Amino acid sequence: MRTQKILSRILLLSLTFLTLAVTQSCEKVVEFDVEDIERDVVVNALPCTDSIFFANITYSRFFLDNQPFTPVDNATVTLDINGTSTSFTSRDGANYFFGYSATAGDTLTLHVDVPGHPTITGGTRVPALPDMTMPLAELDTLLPFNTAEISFTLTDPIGENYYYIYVLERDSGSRWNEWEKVWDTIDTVIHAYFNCINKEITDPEVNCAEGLMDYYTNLLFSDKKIEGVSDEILLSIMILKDTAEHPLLREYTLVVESLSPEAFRYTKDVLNSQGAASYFAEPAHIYSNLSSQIGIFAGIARRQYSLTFTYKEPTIDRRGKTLKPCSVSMSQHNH
Amino acid sequence: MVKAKTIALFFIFVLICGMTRGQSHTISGIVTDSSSGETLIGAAVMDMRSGKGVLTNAQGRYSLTLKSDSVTLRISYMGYKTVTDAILLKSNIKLNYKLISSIELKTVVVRGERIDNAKSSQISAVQIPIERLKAVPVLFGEADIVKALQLLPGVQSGSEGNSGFYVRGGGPDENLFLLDGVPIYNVSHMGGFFSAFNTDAVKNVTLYKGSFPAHFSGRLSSVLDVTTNNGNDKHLHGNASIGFISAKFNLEGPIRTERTTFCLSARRTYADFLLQPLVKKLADNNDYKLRAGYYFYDLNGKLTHRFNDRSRLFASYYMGSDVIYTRIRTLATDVQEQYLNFDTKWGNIVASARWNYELTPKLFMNVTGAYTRYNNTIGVNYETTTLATEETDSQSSEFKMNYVSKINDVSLRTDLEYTPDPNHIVKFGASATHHIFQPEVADMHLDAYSAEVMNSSFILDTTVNHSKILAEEMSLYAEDDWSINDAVKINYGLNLSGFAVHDKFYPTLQPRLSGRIMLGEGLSLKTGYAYMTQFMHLLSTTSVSMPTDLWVPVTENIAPMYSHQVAAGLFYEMGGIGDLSVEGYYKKMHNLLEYKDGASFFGSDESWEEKVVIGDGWAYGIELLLQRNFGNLTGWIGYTWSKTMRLFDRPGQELNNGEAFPAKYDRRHDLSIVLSYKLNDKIDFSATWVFSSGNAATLSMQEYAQAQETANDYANVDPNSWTGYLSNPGKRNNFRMPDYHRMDIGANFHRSFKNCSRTISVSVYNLYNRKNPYMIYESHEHRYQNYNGALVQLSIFPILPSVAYTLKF
Repeated sequence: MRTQKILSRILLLSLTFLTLAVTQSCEKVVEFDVEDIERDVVVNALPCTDSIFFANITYSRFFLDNQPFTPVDNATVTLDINGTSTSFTSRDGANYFFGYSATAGDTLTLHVDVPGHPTITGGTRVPALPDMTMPLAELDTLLPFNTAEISFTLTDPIGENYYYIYVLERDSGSRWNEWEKVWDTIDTVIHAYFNCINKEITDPEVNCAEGLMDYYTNLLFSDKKIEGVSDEILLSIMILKDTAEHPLLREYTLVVESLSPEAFRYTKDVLNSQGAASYFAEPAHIYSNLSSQIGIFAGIARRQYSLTFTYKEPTIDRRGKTLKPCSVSMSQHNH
Repeated sequence: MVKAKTIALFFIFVLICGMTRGQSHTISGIVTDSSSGETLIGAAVMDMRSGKGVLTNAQGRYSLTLKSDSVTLRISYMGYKTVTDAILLKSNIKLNYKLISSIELKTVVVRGERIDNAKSSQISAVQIPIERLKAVPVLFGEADIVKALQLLPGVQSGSEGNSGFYVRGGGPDENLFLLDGVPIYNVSHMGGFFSAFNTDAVKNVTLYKGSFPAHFSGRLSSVLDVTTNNGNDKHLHGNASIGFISAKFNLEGPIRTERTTFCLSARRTYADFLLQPLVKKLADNNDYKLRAGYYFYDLNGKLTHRFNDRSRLFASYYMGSDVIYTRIRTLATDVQEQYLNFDTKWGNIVASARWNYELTPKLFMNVTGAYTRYNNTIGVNYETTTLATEETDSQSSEFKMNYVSKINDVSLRTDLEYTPDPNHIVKFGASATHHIFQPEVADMHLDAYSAEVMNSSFILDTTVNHSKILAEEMSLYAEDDWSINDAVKINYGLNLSGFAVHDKFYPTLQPRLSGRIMLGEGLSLKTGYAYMTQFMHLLSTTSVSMPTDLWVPVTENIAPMYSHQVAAGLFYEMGGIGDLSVEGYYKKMHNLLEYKDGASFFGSDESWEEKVVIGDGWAYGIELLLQRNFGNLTGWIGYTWSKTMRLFDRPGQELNNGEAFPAKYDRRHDLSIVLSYKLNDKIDFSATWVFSSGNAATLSMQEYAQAQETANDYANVDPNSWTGYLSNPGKRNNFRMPDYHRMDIGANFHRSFKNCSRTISVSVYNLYNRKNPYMIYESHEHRYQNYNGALVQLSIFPILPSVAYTLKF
């Protein structure tokens, strides 16, 4: 009995040692030759129907260099709009602004010349605005942890079309005051996800939707499965926090975008590179339609709808707990 | 097609010629260990007068047909006393030999003569005595066959401590692991740190790296043929041992003396038991209780029955699993309890029955029926119980999700071995396997009450991708090991295999050829060629063996992998020093699968077929092996110089822009020195030193700004403040990790008692505490040169001493 006790103590001690040894942090900085890594010129420009066009031009950086990207301040940038060439009107750091706001159907070509680098060119076409029915005006009372569904209909015109639908959130009370996707916001107070009535939208060949069992946090898809027809999409909203005060301090926007083929491929690659699968995978090249094979120039047509939460009178649930319901209404942005 | 028919007819003609020899008499029988009755595989039986000889087969049988009346047989086997027997040969006779081992003789230098190595026609095969493999000091002191074999030239491990197996530039799925002749799919425990083979149960191990005999098929790169013990047919014997990680026992003996025997081995890790109080202490409080752990186990069982000298029946069973479990119980409210169970389990079951029958003294038959299953399950079970109150009854809800991937095989195989004369050993046979693949099956269940409790707007009861893929695999083969004269010997054969899946049938005709020319006493030149086909793939995203690795068959869209391999080498038996071999090889592989850039098993609705690309590869290298299996000092020195490349340039299937790139385990140099020294009957020592070039990895050297993807309010955001960035991957596997090297030492202290003996094994893994790379990642918590970040190497196994205690009775 005594031997057994001693043996088990020895084993326990050994195992503890072993666990400590195995789990001890054995980190070491790897020495390697840092060759002269070429700094490429990177052009990012997304002409969109609801904003002034600009091209962001920076240099790429060495992967260990955590400094902000260096702006290219000596580029010659021209934009051909339906065959008419125009130069940038102003520059702010890396951003070259044009007095131009994209219109659906515009055919655009961008030329960027930076001394010492080959000319970078790329072309795109601004797609038509998404054709969708105005969603409802106001939903009934929405209790915390309950889900409300907002239905809207997307009509796909004949031809090759791509869509990107998501919900943005901004905390008006925060000093950052920036828009973020609801699912990227750390302390979001709502969950918003989409359900395609026509399940075939989620064809993996054409879709890049993150979610589970047909409930998606955002939708990126082509019209391959809904060519020329109308499809109903449900936006489900669930208030997470047991108070109506948070939504009132926040702004929410439903964004529905028509993407050019270039914007679709680029966005799909970016989303994939940020997904969980990428942790286990070999790094992938992100699509580029520029001659430099790095960056993007792609047209977008966008509609935005404000989601407004309105505080309502508190109610008492069956366990005697006070609940603070609210209603949600929706209206189109004015741009 | 005409070409294939011509080749087939040629081989059949040569086979028939070989089998139709003149009349003579046959001596046949079985060679066994005198004390245990275990059959000895590969023992040499030779007529000293004519110089003709054969090796015992996998069942310990031999058949030697000779023309002379008077013969002098010499039966020898490594580690056993050689027996010489003078016989007057007037008719066919049956002679069983029982060899006495060196342990019984109490001698240490017993070197049985063999006719393999330099004299065998087989090239690219290695047979290391099981006792040598057991003596190799390894991680946590747990003897492991696979990790010992990784120290042989031409075989590479995946990463630190891992039992992943990469043979001559092939992937980990290109190895056929046979347990008593039955394929076993997953040979890893603990993510690959241990293999599924319990050394206590193993009798013989042979590794083929190329020039495969025609009776093997189904994998491109290697065959590891593991035979388990039949069991002692005279006395009950056993051993029990406990080490740092696991405890195991082995028991064997006769059920009916010299008729029916059994052998039973079991092993289980026990850390989960010991750590449970610690987990309890750290995790438990009033609202929360946690039980978690990991263990693996395996169980080997074998029954052998000898009907008579001509007929034997073997029944084998293997079961092994890894289990990770987590049980969390929370008291959500005064009236509600929640249970979350997370279980991951993966493992194999292999069951087989084999009937071994001597049809005539020259013709043996083996009929094997087998069932093998590989199964992995990742399950989540979330249960909520609302306790009864005065007003309401108790209610339970459940959410279940299971991710399952499994393969079930049922097979029937017949092998015949015909020895018309000592110059020919003809093997032929057929096999048929029915595969049932079920990759990526997800079951989900969420009942209505659960949906309410979990605030879910939907209920679920569904199975995703549950369809079974049925496939039939069949194989016909014939081969002849032909001694043309004293100097020249060849092994030639054909394997006709086919695989039927869905409506597609893939037939293949695989010629095999190897030959040997004796250049002098103990010196031979060998060469060989093998065409191999593989009908299934293992989709794996990491170097560590994971339960998420998927075995999938070829489909209508994905054709079988195939390879051509040629090898040539010099083999020299250097008298009292040991055996030396130098071998070169070139292997071309086609229809290899890789995940697309950015794709993995995880996180996408795409099926596995849509996530992979198809390409080719090639590998070449030189291997040097100096081994010594006799005397007090035993071991080997192995060195490999090799290069392994991949090319994925088919339209729409490009990787690395369609340019060739080094494979993940392309290593230029691999060196291993394995030595054991027996000081006396009480103490023996062993030491291992390994060195290998660093593994390849893909490193994105460049980052660039990401375009703003969302509809921000530009009036409020300064576009210059964008912080999003993307990586610009360079060439695939463009970076080399630091070189790997390590020394392990071990010592065994034996002591004998009246009815038993004990061994205390002490070993130290990574003696000089080398920080070898396990993985490399980018960190901004470290600095390199004048950068704000660094590339950081994580090492997992520092110096690790271990002790094991074994009791034999």
